[in-house]
Amino acid sequence: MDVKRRTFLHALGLTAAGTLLPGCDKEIRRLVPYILPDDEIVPGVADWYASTCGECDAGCGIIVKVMEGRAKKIEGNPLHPVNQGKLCAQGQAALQRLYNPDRLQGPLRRTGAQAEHRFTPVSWDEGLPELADRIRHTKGPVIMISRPLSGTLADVVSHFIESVKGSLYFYDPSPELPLRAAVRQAFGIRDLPAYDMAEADYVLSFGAPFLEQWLSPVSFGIAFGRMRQGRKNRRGHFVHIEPRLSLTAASADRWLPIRPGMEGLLALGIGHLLLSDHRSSLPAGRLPAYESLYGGVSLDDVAKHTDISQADIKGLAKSFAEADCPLAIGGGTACAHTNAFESHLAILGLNSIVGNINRPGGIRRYQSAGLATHPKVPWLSERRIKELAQALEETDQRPLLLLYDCNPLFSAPPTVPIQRLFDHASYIASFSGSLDESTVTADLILPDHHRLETWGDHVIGEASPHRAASLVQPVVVPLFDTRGLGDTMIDLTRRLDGSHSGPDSFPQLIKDRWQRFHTSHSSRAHEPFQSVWEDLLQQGGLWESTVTEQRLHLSSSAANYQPPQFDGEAVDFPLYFYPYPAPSLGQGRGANLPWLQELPDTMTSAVWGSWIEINPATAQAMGIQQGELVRIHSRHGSVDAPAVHYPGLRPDVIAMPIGQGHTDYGRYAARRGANPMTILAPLFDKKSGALAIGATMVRAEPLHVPGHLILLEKPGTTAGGGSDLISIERPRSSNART
Amino acid sequence: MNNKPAGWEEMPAINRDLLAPLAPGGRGYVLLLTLLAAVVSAGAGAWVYQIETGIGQTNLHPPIFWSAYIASFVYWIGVSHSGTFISGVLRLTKAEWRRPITRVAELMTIISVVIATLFVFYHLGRSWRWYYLIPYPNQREIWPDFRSPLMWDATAVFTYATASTIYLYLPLIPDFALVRDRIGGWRKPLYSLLSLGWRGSQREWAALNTAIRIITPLIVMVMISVHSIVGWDFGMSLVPGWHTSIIAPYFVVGAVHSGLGMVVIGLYLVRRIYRLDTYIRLEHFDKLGKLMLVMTLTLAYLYFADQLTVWYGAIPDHLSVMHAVMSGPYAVPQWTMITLIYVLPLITLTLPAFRAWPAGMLMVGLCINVGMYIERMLILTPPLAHPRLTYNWSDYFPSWVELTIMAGSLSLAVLLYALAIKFVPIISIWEEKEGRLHEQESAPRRTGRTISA
Amino acid sequence: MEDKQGPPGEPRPHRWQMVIDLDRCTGCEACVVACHAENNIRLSGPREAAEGRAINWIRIERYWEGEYPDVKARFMPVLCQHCADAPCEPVCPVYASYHTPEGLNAQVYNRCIGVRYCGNNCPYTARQFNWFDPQWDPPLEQQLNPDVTVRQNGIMEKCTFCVQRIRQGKEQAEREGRPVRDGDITPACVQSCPTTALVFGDGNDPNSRVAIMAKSGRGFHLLESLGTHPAITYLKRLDE
Ligand SMILES: Nc1nc2c(c(=O)[nH]1)N[C@H]1C(S)=C(S)[C@@H](COP(=O)(O)OP(=O)(O)OC[C@H]3O[C@@H](n4cnc5c(=O)[nH]c(N)nc54)[C@H](O)[C@@H]3O)O[C@H]1N2
Ligand code: SF4
Ligand code: SF4
Ligand code: SF4
Ligand code: SF4
Ligand code: SF4
Repeated sequence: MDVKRRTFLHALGLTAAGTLLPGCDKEIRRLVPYILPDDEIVPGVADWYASTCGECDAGCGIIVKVMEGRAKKIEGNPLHPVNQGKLCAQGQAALQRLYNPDRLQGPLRRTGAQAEHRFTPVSWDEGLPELADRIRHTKGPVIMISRPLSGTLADVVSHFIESVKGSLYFYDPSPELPLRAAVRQAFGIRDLPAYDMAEADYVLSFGAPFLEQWLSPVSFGIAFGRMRQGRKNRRGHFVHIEPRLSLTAASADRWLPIRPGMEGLLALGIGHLLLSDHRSSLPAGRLPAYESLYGGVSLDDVAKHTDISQADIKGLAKSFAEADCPLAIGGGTACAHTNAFESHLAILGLNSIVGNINRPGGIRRYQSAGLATHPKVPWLSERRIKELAQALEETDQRPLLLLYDCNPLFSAPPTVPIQRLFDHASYIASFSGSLDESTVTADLILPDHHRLETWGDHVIGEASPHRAASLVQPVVVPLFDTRGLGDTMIDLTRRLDGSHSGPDSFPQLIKDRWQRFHTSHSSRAHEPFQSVWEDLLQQGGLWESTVTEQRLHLSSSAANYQPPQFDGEAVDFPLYFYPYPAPSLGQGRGANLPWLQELPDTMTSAVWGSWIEINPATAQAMGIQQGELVRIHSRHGSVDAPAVHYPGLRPDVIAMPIGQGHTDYGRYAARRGANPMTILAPLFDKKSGALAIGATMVRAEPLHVPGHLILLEKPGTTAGGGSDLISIERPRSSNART
Repeated sequence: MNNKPAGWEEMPAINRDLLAPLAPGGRGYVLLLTLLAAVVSAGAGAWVYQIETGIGQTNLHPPIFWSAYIASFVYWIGVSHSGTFISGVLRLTKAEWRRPITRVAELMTIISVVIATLFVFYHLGRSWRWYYLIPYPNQREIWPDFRSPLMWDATAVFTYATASTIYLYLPLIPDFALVRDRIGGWRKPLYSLLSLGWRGSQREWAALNTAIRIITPLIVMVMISVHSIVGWDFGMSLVPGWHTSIIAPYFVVGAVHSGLGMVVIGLYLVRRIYRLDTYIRLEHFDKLGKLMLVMTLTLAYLYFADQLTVWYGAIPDHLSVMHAVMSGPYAVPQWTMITLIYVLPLITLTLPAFRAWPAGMLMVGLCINVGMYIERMLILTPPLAHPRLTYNWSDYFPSWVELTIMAGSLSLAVLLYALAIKFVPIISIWEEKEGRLHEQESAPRRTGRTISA
Repeated sequence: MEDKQGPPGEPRPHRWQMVIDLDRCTGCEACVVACHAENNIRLSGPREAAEGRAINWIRIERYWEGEYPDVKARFMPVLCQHCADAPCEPVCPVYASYHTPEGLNAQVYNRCIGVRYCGNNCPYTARQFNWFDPQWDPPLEQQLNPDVTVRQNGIMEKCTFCVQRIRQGKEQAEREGRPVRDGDITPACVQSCPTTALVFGDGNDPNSRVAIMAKSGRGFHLLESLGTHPAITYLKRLDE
């Protein structure tokens, strides 16, 4: 295996990847397998390899420190435009996914009933023909559910699915589908535009958790730092509107606790004021459309329903209009309701009204050429799950299900009949690398390599003003008997059509594509490709020459604002339920990484578990102690978690982080905490079909037993909360405003 | 002069009474030893377990890095002050009534210093590296840091242990000789060795008296310095609630307070078990009671002075500790402690009739010691639990390993004491005799006695 | 601030310092994981975490201010302040906590016997203790950084300002026959911090970013009144 691997690397001539440490000499080191010590491995001397982070879809550039054949540390690639050398907690924890003790070590076949979770190892030479055979003989449709893919892998996978006449869906628990739908309607584009936050000087965020796990967290972090203190004498102002004082809200100058679901209404109110005060810079021809959208609300109603005073609304409108570079963004809670699409249109429209489209500090659009063949793969919204399950059941077709690196059985609520879709399948195969709740139902598992063991590329830059075509290269020898998904797909394609045409291997395919790309796009087209290739690998990808700014054009803003719908009568279920992705665990994907389990939630300092957040006044009225186990009931079930008194929360809201409550997914994740998704109602954003995760009403019942709440604040106690700043901030001078 | 000195006829009885405890113990004694040994083994087992698995077997955690073990160390060093104070100070002031009680106290000193030292070892995270604390010559020229109060402490405790061993030993020599002359079997050579060939010549007595005269003031000074330094372990730090100038005298007085309490307990038991009513008389309880009263008042005064400054100064960091103790999570132990070491002694010891009631005195002694143990825990824990960055506030209660080790150590102390009683005369025989002689001499002439030799 | 460490007159080429801009810190905790990965910080696990023993060399303290709805949360990244007059140093009986000529508060693991006095006397609760031997479920241990010691049971530890990275930076500069440049050396937390809330550098170089930023009018030291003279300057958060 190792010998093969080595020859393979040499055959491809993929020897590049130099060190990127500042000041280190650019001598090119070879990628050498650990088991075969090479003369050029210097014990104790680190090699750094550039690649791309795969922990979320932002695709930050990384450099990986490798010593004696083992990856030791991941840092941001300083040359990469998206993250500029920085990296988030999840990106760094990717190492623990690589070395995870519960990683699948090779192909597995299920033995016994599905519920038994018993598997036996099989070889690739058994597993691959079995799957090919199953696909060849399936009577039902082939359905593949995958995490969002990009670049060459996306092409290979969709090509394979096309060749078997199946359907491929991208599934992501928080893809911000209502926002995408609104962007599509407002600007007529499929992907998300870039928010130029670094240059903004007034950011009005409607629930967008851009300092948490939202779209491109590191690039937003960088932009936020610049917006605050990166410019001389110009500090951007930031107002955040959300029912809960989230991690993002904590960095705001002002937090406005809005009533859930009313983000759009507030935007309408602000837009109304902007238009009626003639602060609009819209061309006259466009004005009527906007007036019909924003004109229909009265300030009284807005104030009444949003719970934000008229004075505050006027203040927001005034500051927004008077700022040089105002920027309104929506996401997170603004995506969490049945009226999310309309809300986003209203929020996006604010930017159009003040004319900050295609301007520094506003909403812009960049596009990468060449490699950016983003296949038009549909998203698997929760409503689509429901429709799919119903259609299959009605026609009594039993699908063959393929899964890749996503976990819908964990992250979609049971009221969305995802389980039925799985139950109905005639055969399930998974390419995921660990036994999560979805993969554990599979009949056959052909595990993918870890990102750091494989080849790939990634076209990135949604929401970030920086676009790049980024490369993924193996930096360590695969630890286990796994195979890259690209190679598995090529192998399956070949088995199914019986030919020997097509690419030899996935790495070869990538190299070929990059060669074509290079000849058409690079200023170095005349140079021999091999040396360019080595430089590309060393740098981590290609950016400068591929990006062009494109103008956004306003298309339609027609929408009928609808109030949000909620599930549950106020008498029985008086509280809004507000599940939010835990900043560290990112919808549960990080729950199997001990570093992330142990990373304190910044707001509560909680680790290794779940909790519910409750306003201290509400808690006192209900007699709920900090740390006490509380049962949250909705019409669809109940969930238990210890209570945390959370001062930054509306008194009529119960908040709970998403990410825990796994039943499988390895020793660190399984049987820890609770999953709030299990009690959600099947309500959807009308336009995009995304689950309205904020639309469930609940009741809280104290159980009068202590819960398992572990806080790092007040270590060793569950007291948390009331820490006082005993005047520890004592600036030297009082005129501190610089 | 062929006249026998007055009181001469009492001497055989004294010998008999005071040597009696050295006789082999009965069933009760053996049972007691077995019981104590069992608890000691439990403690030893817990310690081994703690070394084997990690100091995490305690309930310590940041920011509370010290607690039960160090509190116990302070407490036992305090108890050790009984010996030096009773015998040293009283000897220095030539208080005649001290005679029957010095040995009881001095034995306590040695044993409690040993126990206290053990607590340092329990406490070390890497006790197997304890010798880093010793300034031994080494190639790398790495030395301990004598700027650390812990080094002063190690030095002081070592000095104190050495000095009090000598201090206990010197007056034992004539008694050892006495035992040597009256005992047979395997113990005879041992006592011969220990009595250094004492024959009771004039020169020997003169030398002994000189030695005692020299070491007595020294040991008192060492005693005061030792507990001052133990106080400075805390006082020298920045920890709010520890960092106070009054802490050294406060610790010394507190130590004497618990030490006196412990002496009363010891006296009561020795008197009761060996029927030494004629030696340990009500007068002794009365005098000790008065001393304890003085200590109660002094300690209360120091405590008040300290707390008043904190309260009036109202520095938030310091005040938060005070609030936690007075009305916060530590209020119950705090007010229990105040009752046990201030209120109860004050109420009872002011009554002369109470002071003449040995069982009552025993109870006060117990109260003071329980109270002082709590007090040591309260000095240690709440200040550490309330660091300046309030995000890190915490609390603490000892784990079963800590409690077992503490119980084992207490049992070890009692065990050692019980064994020592069988080995050294528990009342200094020659001093008692000397006292009787002084008494006889001075009794008729009330107008004053010649102090010159 | 006078730096009293080291013999007078002896040249001190570097004095490592950090600036933490509270107006930038978003509490994202990228720094926390970076520090764990770089410095082989143990996995404490739920049990030790519940006992209050989870080890973090850098933590983001969150302080609530005010009451709903006018409530604010403030973040305060706290790590060892590398005090020029470090209260943790003189109290250590065995010199395990000591000051390097370059202004670092160094912890000599081999020498530490676990008296924990230093932990009590650090006013910032920066010091962390190994109550048990660390454990990694295989193959997680393959990630361990060979440049950093794994600390055993009974030893105190804390932020080192990533001394191994400082040393590498200096050695690199020496190999290339040039002085260390500003920005050459970044501790792991600084390296990762997305918002650049953390800046590290040589306080003896008046043109370094850290030296310039430390002079900001927003600057203050944590618990400044204690006179510990920290090497970390915080810049106050600005908001209404
Ligand atoms: N290239 C090469 N490698 C070798 C060898 C070789 O000949 N060549 N020989 C091998 C052999 S035989 C051996 S024994 C090992 C030796 O290898 P090492 O044990 O690494 O020995 P040194 O490099 O001599 O010293 C280690 C470090 O200890 C520091 N030091 C010196 N005194 C003290 C002190 O008092 N306290 C502390 N904490 N540190 C101190 C030194 O400054 C140095 O940085 O190397 C082996 N490796
Ligand atoms: S933002 Fe996403 S891609 Fe970037 S480092 Fe974090 S997890 Fe990786
Ligand atoms: S912050 Fe604490 S550990 Fe660090 S140097 Fe200062 S006193 Fe020592
Ligand atoms: S714990 Fe270690 S560093 Fe701290 S005082 Fe003790 S020996 Fe010194
Ligand atoms: S400077 Fe290094 S050791 Fe200190 S907190 Fe940052 S990463 Fe950790
Ligand atoms: S990485 Fe930077 S912004 Fe994030 S918590 Fe740490 S210091 Fe704050």
